Amino acid sequence: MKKAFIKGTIIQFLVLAGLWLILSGKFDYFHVTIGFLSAALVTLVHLRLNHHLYFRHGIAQVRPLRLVKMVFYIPWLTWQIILASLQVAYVVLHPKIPINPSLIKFRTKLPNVTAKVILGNSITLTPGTLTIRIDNDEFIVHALMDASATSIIDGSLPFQVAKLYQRRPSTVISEVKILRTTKGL
Amino acid sequence: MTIWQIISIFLIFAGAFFITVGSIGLIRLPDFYSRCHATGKADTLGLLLVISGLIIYEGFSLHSAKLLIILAFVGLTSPTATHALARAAFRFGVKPRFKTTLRPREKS
Repeated sequence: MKKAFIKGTIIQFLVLAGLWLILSGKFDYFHVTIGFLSAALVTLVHLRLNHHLYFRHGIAQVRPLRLVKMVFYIPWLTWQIILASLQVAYVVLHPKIPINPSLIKFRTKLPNVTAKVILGNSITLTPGTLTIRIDNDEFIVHALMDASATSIIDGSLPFQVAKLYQRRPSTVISEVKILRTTKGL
Repeated sequence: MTIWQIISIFLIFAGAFFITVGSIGLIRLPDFYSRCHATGKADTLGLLLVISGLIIYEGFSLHSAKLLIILAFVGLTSPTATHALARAAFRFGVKPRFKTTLRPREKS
């Protein structure tokens, strides 16, 4: 726990310092010193918040992100974004606008908040789906086209996200419902 | 005109196409949530393509590094902003329209 806290703080400092170096673009003593000092100051201000996050909120209790998987995940997501935009372009430019909207409601068993953020953003970026609400474990997703054609129904997208954290995730989604009314929400 | 310039011009034009499609979708689609689809996806890809085209045009330099940071932030914030809009509308009580309740568009 304490180790993760110290590691997180050091990583935050290095990210801030690197951001300063890239954004300032000056590498003489004066500017680099000021940059490192201000990065240290910001880290110091954030120290209490980080302390709270790691010791009260418990984000250190979960498994760390598997960075190797991330390398495969990002190109896959880029490909999905391209497919999604082509689909939107087809729908928008088609004279009849062939859409069939519906809502999909499902529960997930993802390990932590960050995984839910990644899943929510990925749902928005994959073809035909848009995250509307996340309530604890319950997701509500708007589907633009035929809902059964999306990657949520067969569970492949949540499975990909869960794989970022675990080697062999169990079934991650349950209670999938396709709604065509807004009753009972 | 080198091959890299041609690639970057192609990418920027493709990005402009997707941003235009997103704007057309904002006008043509019937309800709030489907309009979110148009702006959330097509605009994200359009911006990503324009910025990567600029990175290739610029070559390997400090400006490219700055553009790369912008690329990462756009990729993160654009879907989040779309979700924030949709969530706010849902909480406010904007009902999504389904096929049974879709009115045919009036001809003008």
